[in-house]
Amino acid sequence: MTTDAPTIESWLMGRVVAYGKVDAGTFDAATPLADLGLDSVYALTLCGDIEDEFDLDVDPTIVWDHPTIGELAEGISERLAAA
Amino acid sequence: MSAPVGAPPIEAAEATAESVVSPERLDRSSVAAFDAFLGDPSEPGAVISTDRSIELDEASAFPRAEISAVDAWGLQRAYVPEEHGGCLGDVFVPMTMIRRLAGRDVTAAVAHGKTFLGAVGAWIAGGPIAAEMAAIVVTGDPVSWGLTEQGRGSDLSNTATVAALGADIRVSGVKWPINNATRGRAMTVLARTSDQPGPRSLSLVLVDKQRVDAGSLSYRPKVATHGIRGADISGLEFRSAVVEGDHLVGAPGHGLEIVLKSLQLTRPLTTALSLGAADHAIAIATGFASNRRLFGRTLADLPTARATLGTAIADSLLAESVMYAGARGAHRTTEEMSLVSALVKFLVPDTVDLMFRDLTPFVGARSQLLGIAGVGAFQKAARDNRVVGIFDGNSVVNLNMVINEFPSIAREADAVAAEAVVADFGFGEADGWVDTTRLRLVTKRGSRLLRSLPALVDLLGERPAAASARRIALELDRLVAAAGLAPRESAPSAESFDLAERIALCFGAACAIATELASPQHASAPSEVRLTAILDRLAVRLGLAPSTAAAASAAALAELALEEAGRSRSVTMLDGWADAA
Amino acid sequence: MTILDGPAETRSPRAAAEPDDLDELFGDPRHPGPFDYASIVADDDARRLSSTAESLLDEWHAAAEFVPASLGGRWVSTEDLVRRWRPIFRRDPALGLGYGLTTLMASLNVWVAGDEAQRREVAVRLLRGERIAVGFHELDHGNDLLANEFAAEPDDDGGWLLTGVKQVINNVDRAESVLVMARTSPEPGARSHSLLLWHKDAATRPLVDTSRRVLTAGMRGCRIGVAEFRGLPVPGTAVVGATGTAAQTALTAFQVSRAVIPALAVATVDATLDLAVRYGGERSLYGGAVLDLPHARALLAGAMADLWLADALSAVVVRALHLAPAECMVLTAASKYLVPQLLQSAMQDLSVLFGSTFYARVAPYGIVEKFVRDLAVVPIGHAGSTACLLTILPNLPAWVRRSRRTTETDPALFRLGEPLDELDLARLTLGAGSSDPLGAALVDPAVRDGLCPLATESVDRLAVELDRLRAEIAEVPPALLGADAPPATFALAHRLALLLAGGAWAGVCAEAPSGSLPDDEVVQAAVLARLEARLSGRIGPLDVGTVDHLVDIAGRLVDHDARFTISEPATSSPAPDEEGDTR
Ligand SMILES: Cc1cc2nc3c(=O)[nH]c(=O)nc-3n(CC(O)[C@H](O)[C@H](O)COP(=O)(O)OP(=O)(O)OC[C@H]3O[C@@H](n4cnc5c(N)ncnc54)[C@H](O)[C@@H]3O)c2cc1C
Ligand SMILES: Cc1cc2nc3c(=O)[nH]c(=O)nc-3n(C[C@H](O)[C@H](O)[C@H](O)COP(=O)(O)OP(=O)(O)OC[C@H]3O[C@@H](n4cnc5c(N)ncnc54)[C@H](O)[C@@H]3O)c2cc1C
Repeated sequence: MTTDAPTIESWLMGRVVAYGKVDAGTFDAATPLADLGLDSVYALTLCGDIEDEFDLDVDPTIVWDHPTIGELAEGISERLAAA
Repeated sequence: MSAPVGAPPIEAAEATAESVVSPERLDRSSVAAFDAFLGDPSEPGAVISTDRSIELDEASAFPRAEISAVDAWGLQRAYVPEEHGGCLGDVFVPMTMIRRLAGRDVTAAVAHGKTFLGAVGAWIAGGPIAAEMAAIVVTGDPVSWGLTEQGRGSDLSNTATVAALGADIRVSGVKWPINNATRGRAMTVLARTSDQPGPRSLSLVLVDKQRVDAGSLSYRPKVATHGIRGADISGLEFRSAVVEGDHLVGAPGHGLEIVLKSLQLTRPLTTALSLGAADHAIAIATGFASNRRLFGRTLADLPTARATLGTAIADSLLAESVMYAGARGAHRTTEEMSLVSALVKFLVPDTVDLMFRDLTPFVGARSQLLGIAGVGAFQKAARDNRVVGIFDGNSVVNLNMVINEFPSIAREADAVAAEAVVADFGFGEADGWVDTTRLRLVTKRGSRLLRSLPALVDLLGERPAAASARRIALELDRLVAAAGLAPRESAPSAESFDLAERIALCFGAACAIATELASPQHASAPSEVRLTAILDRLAVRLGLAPSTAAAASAAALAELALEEAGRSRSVTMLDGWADAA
Repeated sequence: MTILDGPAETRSPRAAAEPDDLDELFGDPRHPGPFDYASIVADDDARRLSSTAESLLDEWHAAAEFVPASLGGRWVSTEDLVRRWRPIFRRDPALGLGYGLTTLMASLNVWVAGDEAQRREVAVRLLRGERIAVGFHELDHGNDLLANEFAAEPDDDGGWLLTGVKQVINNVDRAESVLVMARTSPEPGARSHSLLLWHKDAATRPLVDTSRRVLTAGMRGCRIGVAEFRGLPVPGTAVVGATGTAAQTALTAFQVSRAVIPALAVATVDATLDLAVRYGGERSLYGGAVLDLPHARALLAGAMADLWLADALSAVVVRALHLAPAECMVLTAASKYLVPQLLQSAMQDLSVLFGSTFYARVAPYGIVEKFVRDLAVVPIGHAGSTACLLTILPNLPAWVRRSRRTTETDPALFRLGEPLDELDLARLTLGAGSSDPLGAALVDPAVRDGLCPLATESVDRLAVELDRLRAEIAEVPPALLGADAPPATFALAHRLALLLAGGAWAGVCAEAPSGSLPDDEVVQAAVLARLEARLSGRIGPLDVGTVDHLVDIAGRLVDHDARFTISEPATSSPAPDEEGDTR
């Protein structure tokens, strides 16, 4: 499994598009997730997806602490490295 | 306005605070001591007498003497974890004590128990602020919980109160309506500490009025309320109030997270208030049924009246099991409390509200009257009780939490060993205070207890109670599948709320079965009567059976209750808990 | 209160004259005025009724509504009586009960059984603004009225001596007269009690103590008390009807009040709905308003559907007093049983919607908390829910026979607001009558043809259910139809009440003027869907399209200051959106 931030970043982009709130290409890794229409409910969904994908135990606070896709990818990568 | 909570016009037999003897340690064996201390509420001289509670309520007066007596006994020590110098270990101990208090007067229990809510954030945050908080709480000084602001309701992310962080903290804003805002010594305040959007902009500040310039505080008057009329529900305004820099509860930006985790513990706790109100109502209704003569016999001898009474008792027993499950969950499945606390906080008040609605016509004119024939307690308990479904996260908000967990609930998970679940419910288990570092904001796989329902049903085997249990377990299967398919919405549909409500009812079945299986009396004849009545009733509430299908088991439960009442006892799922440790 | 002085004749209005609208006299309760919500809440807190409102009602000759036109009063159509009194219940149910309803209940007994002199006397007193209390109940015996102990012993002059305690009695201290139910024979059974009317001015007060007040959680402003009689002498002419006929008279007379009270209580929920829409639009949450939340919208829509069913059933039963009097024993019991239950259910949903704004009594919504408490009394006072079912139970077998042979409905029953002749109380009976005028609406093709397709499907299912219910009742042994009936029998009566409500709704829809609310297909179907859910045991939310439609209607009604009720002619009709059909 990949643990590098860029791969995680593109996986996250894919998830966000899959939620159907924004179109691919209309945002980048620095756009705050909140601006993507991802409210706290989607944050929960995203956490579940992250857990399933990376077998990593995360709480929604990870999104609070890493409010953009770029930062989130870094955060996940760090945790995977530490795991 | 500075002191809206006026002196009660009625002179109380001021409790002999000095002479109070209470146990040095508060554990489950102290519940009986507390009960004895509170005394028989029908006696005018008791610490809490029903007559006086009704008078105070009528006058909207605060139960001052009652609360100082409870302070003198030291119930507040049960709110402080042992590591901070208090007696708090098993959370079911303070819950049971608050239930006993609420069983006499919900207003008093709300007024006293609120300190647990105000303080718990500090236990979660840990560090020096916890010691500071402990020092305030053990003295009996009230701590209030300042989340809500006028016009903003449940939407905490919209908090407008500001705390400017620097060498010291400057708090500005208004918290309203807040329990004990005026009489409280301290308030744990949720405030904005950053202009950035998002949940990391809120922090918790402990404002100790004794350490703040009184001129920077002002009060909003007592709010008139439907029930708990004597309680100090008021507001506190901070006008650039200066608080020492080390009075943050937790790290800056961690306010909302600590609040959400605190709620996971306070929500089960507040259900003790519902149980107290339910105890009171059941005692009144049972007494009425056995004493009232109508059409040449007692009300209890009329089949339909008997079934109505039994249904109400079944509801109260369900609520008791769910409350117990909330406590067990806090200790044993701490990481699932985001879901469990919401299920518990929805189901208990909802069930007890329903019980009151059913009992009101049953008790008839006496459900409305006061000042005649020794009645009046029912109408007070009915009004008081409704507060539980409204504060500390209303029922709708809790259902919304359950909906947010639908994906976790529906996610594949390993089979649960029902025996392990039952072991968690063991009456003899004595736990130390919750490891709050295990609290999480969302569960990974929903609730183990909920998932174990089919396995718990298997443990019932061919017992009579299993019939309804099996139908409920099948229903849960369907509901979980539907939950997995429900759309993700920030404002969920009414159908999702209905689904969440049904899942909560199934959760209730799991709570009742697990409690019964863990009980020392498990599978005895009375135990079978209790469990069957609860499960039959749940099947009716789920729409799986017509109401008449639960009438026989309800009547049997009423019969059991009437027998117990003859021995001055009440029916409970928790027989033996007090001496099991 | 102020007793109007001067000869009654000069003050009593002409029989048929339409009095002023109380809504106008009282003014909009949401805006500051002498009888606004704020003052009503304050009076309630102080456990008193509004003196301003009571004076206004005195001037309006409110009690003339209860006096038949043939006796000089304004009462012709009971439906008009309800319509004219509803403004009171939109503001303060306690005022309705405390100012007048008990006087209505008492006087009904006199209209039913009194002789000519008694009827004239009572009419004059009412037109003068006097009150009569109803001293029927004793707390120890409750709805088991025949077990009452309060006694009337004959004295030596052909009069009676009254001894005993009556609890808990509205207005007993301030009323000018009290109608008591007293035991006149030691024998058990239904012929041992009589009604006696005591005019306080005619007798020595020290022999009665009415000073003790009893407090209540709902209807706090009412002056409810205890009356202790210690050998009070009353003349022989005090007996209303023959001796021994108290039960018969009361059971007849109370059919009218059992029909009227639920119909009035509907107005309180109507007022709450109006407030709920305003609150839901005003209170912001999560960046929108409460009424943007699907759950909140569903609560509102469900409450509207419950209100409409309650309104239809109670209105049709009020009309039935005039048009199907022989059937009213069962019909009025069904209405007094089910309507308060529907209203409570609506209030429960609305109180969840209001949340802390209900629990903490804050302006401008402080009145909602009072409405919740006041309405909780309605299913208890004046024949509680169980007592109503107990009235229906013994009539079930007869109802089945009537129901099976009734296939046609009387459309006049469902034409709400159509003029009615003066009520003929003598046509009320104590049995099941000769037909099933409401059940028939579920099978009558004339009704069915008047419904929209969506509603027809529902009604067809209800007709099947009606058939099933008849079959089940036919199996019940008569021994199980008394006070010791098991829950299964009570459940049959419950289902019957629901089906009668379904019939009332279908009939009202079929006869609805075009463009009115019950003429709207979604409205028709929504109410029936909710009713079917009630029959099935679990009430889920209405579907989203229905909810949206109902919430749209709610918004329009409030924008136009119109009422949610369907039984009153709309003052300003909730014009559908200009764009046309919003379905
Ligand atoms: C606000 C208020 C105002 C009132 N004003 C007046 C007044 O002006 N005049 C007056 O005369 N009275 C008045 N009353 C009294 C009145 O109407 C009482 O409600 C009446 O005394 C009935 O008593 P109860 O409610 O105790 O019912 P009970 O008859 O004692 O019944 C109690 C309950 O037992 C249950 N029950 C009874 N029978 C059965 C059965 N067969 N099967 C199953 N369950 C059963 C029912 O649930 C019932 O509600 C007033 C009451 C109130 C609350
Ligand atoms: C007696 C009393 C004591 C209190 N004590 C305290 C205290 O000590 N400390 C404190 O901080 N607060 C306190 N409160 C405030 C209380 O906790 C909040 O008011 C409450 O939790 C927020 O709910 P609300 O009813 O104000 O509803 P709001 O959040 O304003 O919501 C209004 C309505 O919208 C609907 N709604 C809300 N959320 C949702 C959702 N997610 N989905 C669908 N519908 C929704 C519901 O129908 C709700 O009733 C107290 C309140 C009362 C009445």
